[in-house]
Parts: sequence; C-alpha cells; structure tokens
Amino acid sequence: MLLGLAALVLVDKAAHGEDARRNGARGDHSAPIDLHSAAGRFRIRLAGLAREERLNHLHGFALSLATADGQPVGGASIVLRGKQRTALNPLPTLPRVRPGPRPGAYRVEGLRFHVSGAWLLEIAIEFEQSRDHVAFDIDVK
Amino acid sequence: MQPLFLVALAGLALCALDAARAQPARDATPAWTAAELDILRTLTLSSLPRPARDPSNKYAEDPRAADFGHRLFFDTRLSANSSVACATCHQPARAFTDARPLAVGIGVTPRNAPTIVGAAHNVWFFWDGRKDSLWSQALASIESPLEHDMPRARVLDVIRANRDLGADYVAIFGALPAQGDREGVNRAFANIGKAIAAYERRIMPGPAKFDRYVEALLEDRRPAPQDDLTLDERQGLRVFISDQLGRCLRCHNGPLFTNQHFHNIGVAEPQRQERAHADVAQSILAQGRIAGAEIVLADEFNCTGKYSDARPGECAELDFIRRDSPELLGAFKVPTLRNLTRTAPYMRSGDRRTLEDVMWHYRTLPQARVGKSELNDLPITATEFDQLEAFLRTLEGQIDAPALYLRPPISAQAK
Ligand code: HEC
Ligand code: HEC
Repeated sequence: MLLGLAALVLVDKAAHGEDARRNGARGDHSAPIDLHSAAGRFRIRLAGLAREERLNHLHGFALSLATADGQPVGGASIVLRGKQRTALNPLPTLPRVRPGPRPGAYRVEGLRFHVSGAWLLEIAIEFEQSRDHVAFDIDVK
Repeated sequence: MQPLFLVALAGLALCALDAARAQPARDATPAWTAAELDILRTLTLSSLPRPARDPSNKYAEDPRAADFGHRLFFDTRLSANSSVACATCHQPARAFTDARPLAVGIGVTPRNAPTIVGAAHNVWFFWDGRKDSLWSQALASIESPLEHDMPRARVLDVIRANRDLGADYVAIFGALPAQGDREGVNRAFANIGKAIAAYERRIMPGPAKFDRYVEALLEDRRPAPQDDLTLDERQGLRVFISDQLGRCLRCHNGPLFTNQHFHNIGVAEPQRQERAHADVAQSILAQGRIAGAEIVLADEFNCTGKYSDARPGECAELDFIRRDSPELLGAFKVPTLRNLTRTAPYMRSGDRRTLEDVMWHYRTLPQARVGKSELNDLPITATEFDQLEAFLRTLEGQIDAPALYLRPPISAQAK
C-alpha cells in the first residue's frame, strides 16, 4: 500500500509540472484535487485542474486512480462528463481519458469551459467488475 | 416659502450639480465590487493574449504571405465577373462588414457578413463553424457560387496569367503547379488561403472607451473625461455582467465578448429565405452547428487533412469536437460585440436593423423554429435594456492593424 501511494505521488509530480507550464499562471494548479468515488471503491487525484478554472481554454490534466487502500488501478475505463449547474449546458468539447505511462496514471485531454459559473463534473470509472463514479464542482471565472 | 430662501435653495442645488459635474458620476453610482472588477478585467483588450499559433498554416506569421494576402483580399480578379473581392463584403471602414442584411457577391448569400476583426482568435469559422481555420474559410468564399464563384483551377489560371500575382506566389510558395495537376492545384489553392489568413491574422480590435475606462479603474485612477462611462453606460455594463440580470456573459465573455461556441437563441432564418423556400427550417443551413460539425469533420481542407501543415496530435479542436448533441441543433456561433456601432444590421439573418431591435429580441424571446432556444426571461426593465444598448456602444474602437492593411493595396488602386 505504501508503495502504491509513493507511485501515486511520483505520477502526480511528473504530470503536474507539465500542466503548470501548459496552463499558465491563472487558476491555481499547485494543489491536487483529491476525491473518493461515491461508493468508496476508488481514490482519485486530479493534478493540473483547479477548483477555480479559467474560461475558454482547452486544456488537460493528470488523473491518478487507486483503490480505496491506495493500490494504483491501471486499465480502467474512465469517462469525464460535465454540465453547467444553472443552464445545464454540457461541455462544449468531448474530453477523452487515456492511460498514461504508469499503472494508475491517466491523462484527461480536451476540456474547455465556455460559460462562467459553477460546473458539475462527473468521472465515471469502470474497472473489472466494479463501477463507481464521483461528481464535484469546478468554479469557472 | 420665502422667495429669498428659494433662491438660496436653487443656488445650493446648482452648487451640488456643479460638484457632481466636476466629480464625474463614479461617486453617484455604487462603486464596483472586487468581484465585479475581476470580471471587468477579463473583458478588456489587455486580457486578450496573442492569437494562438495556427499549426495548420506554416505561413501564418510570414510577413510576405501577409502582404500577398492583403493584395488578394482586395483583388476582384479572383471572382467570376471580376467585380467581387473579399473586401466587397468585408470593408475595413465598416469593421470588415458590408452594411447589408445579407451579403451580396455573385449572388445573394443567405447570411449576414460577420466581421473578421480579431478572427484569428476564433476556433471555428462561419456562423455554423463549418471551417476550422482562416485559410480554409477563405477557400470556401472563393469557390462559393454566391460569393466569388471561382473554382480553384480558375484561381490558379488567374495567378498564372497575371505577372504581379504570379511573381508574389512563386517568391513565397515556389513554382506554380502545371494546369491539370489536380493535386498541385489543390495545394496551391490552399496556399492562396494561407496567404489571405496571414493577412487576416493582423487585423485586431483596438482599445475602446470601455477598455480605457476599465484600465483606469484597475489602476485606481480617474478615467479621462472622454473615457468615463456615463451613468447609463455604467448601469448597462452592470446589467451585462450580472448573473442575476442580463446574464450576457454566459455567451458573450472574454475580451472579444464571445465564448467561441454555438448557442440557440431563437433567431429565425432570414425572412428573404423564408419567403423563397417554404421548407427553409428543414434545410441544412438552418440546422446550425449540428450540421456544421459534420461538415468540418469531412472537409478536405481541415486541420487533419493533407493540405494542412499540422502534425498528428496538433488538431485538438477537431479531436475533441462535440457533435451530434441535441443542444447543437439550431445553434450558431456567438458573435463578438466589439464595434457593433459599425456592423449593423445584426444577427446571422441580418434581420435586426438596430441595436434596439437586437435588445427587443432579448426582451421578447422568440421561440426557436429549429431546436430549442436557451434564452430565459430576464428580470430587467425597459430602461435597463436601453442602458445595455448604451453600454454596447462603448465597445467601439480603432482597428489595430498596419495602416496600409486597412486600404486597398497600391496595385489595386491603380487598376
Ligand atoms: C458576398 C460577400 C462575401 C465575400 C465576397 C466574402 N465573404 Fe466572408 N463572409 C460572408 C458571409 C455572408 C459570411 C458568413 C457566412 C456563413 O456563416 O455561412 C462570411 C464569413 C467569413 C468569415 C468567418 C468569420 C467568422 O467569425 O466566422 C471570414 C474569416 C471571412 N468571411 C473572410 C472572407 C475572405 C478572406 C474572403 C475572400 C476570399 C471573403 N470572406 C469573401 C460574406 C462574404
Ligand atoms: C445563450 C447564449 C447567449 C446569451 C446569454 C446572449 N447572447 Fe447575444 N448572441 C448569441 C448568439 C448565438 C448570437 C447570434 C445569433 C444568430 O445570429 O443566430 C447573439 C447575437 C447578439 C448580438 C448581435 C451581434 C451581431 O453582430 O449581429 C448582440 C448585440 C447581442 N447578442 C447582445 C447580447 C446581450 C446584450 C446579451 C445579454 C442581455 C446577450 N447577447 C446574451 C448568444 C447569446
């Protein structure tokens, strides 16, 4: 389990450096977003996505997936969806999630917010027999 | 009441008035909150970055290509009857529009001509976004039977036959293709578009009264008197940015006042179209983005196509395009709101003559004939709609481009 966590941290470090460069200064990407899936099956860490994101900017971020006890989960199928809280518009793009270089590391690409305000993002995860999802808010300025 | 007292009162009132005049209305309206200032900052031109690189056009920043593009933009020889140029419908003095409801070239097009000022920042081109670059957009105008009506082979014939054009072409792109070399003609035709795009990339909006006003606020100084927004303009701006009132920022955001996406706001097809074709609502044209997305994906001149200079993986917009989604039906691109004072009439249909007519659209919320309008009733008064309009007028500015790019090139003038 400790090993798993260490791997997670490493993956995040690498991925995060890349995102910080790509995303510029606006939106603070220094702190990862840590999430637990609704039914508690997975732990998800997003690096390079800020709770407060900026508008009209196509970007990507790193997603690390682990079991509840911290083992990296490779080969999962992951879908990211989003809708605007008030007008219920979906995202203007279709982001994709693809596996990264290490187990448990994924890369989300093609995310853009075109309307300011609260967005609800949902990550749906399928791995072997288990399915779970997590929803969280991003505030777009 | 004593007459003397009245006189004194009137005097006092005059003094107060004077004071108000000397201290422009900043103090008369509530000051902008920190949150509002944050929003205002995102709308000023100083927040506009340089346009993103266009990986599909390796000539995009080439000054020789831009000069050549400038000549082509004004050149009527690239049209079937030698009387139409890009500049016919995109006139510099009208912020690159044409003052007509529907643009007229070789025929009458079914659309109002949008401005091209700042177009280098666009993600998609045309009202339905059926093009993904400035250069491939230009090719469509040249070949459209209603605009230039010039098939690509004939364009190349014109370039070959005119020494001035031919020499420019060869100096930038190398040898012209042989007549009948279809592949070569396509490539050369794409180059023509790339030169025009290099020119268009230089045409940017310059600061407006609004920008100078906000700059002053952000630097915590008093705006110059001519840059200070009036009470009405200020109130309009407040309504515009408010999430409770105007909610305009949902779509008209960023320094160009567009989110570069597609929304259905219930604007019908042009009346002229409706009269001519009873089934216009069924036409591809009226489907908006839902059709535009499919067209751009199938376009031989798109970013992933063989005439593009992009490497694999560089066409992110096409890679992540949203298609076939219900909200895209009847949805059209959000236009910029800069320089509206010079770009009447309005909307893709050109059916709104004045800004007041546009405000009427947002007041009356017509139902969409195709798809579903996203607009909701706005809790704002008639006066506030007038104020919105007053604010929109503060977005007029000079065009930021080399001065000679705003005039026909010397050769075209001499002709
Ligand atoms: C007959 C008038 C006419 C001519 C000539 C013409 N255009 Fe246009 N242009 C239009 C109209 C109308 C549209 C919108 C059409 C649509 O969306 O279906 C448009 C759209 C555009 C756009 C897209 C702007 C945006 O924000 O989507 C650009 C860029 C443009 N034209 C550049 C050019 C260039 C370059 C040429 C010359 C090669 C040209 N136009 C010739 C009328 C014209
Ligand atoms: C849901 C998105 C949306 C919202 C919200 C919205 N607009 Fe628009 N606006 C559009 C679209 C899309 C068009 C072009 C529609 C067409 O021609 O089919 C447009 C067109 C316009 C035009 C005409 C511009 C031109 O060059 O033709 C003006 C002016 C305008 N909007 C102002 C406003 C104001 C003011 C508000 C707030 C009260 C507002 N809009 C709210 C999407 C929106």
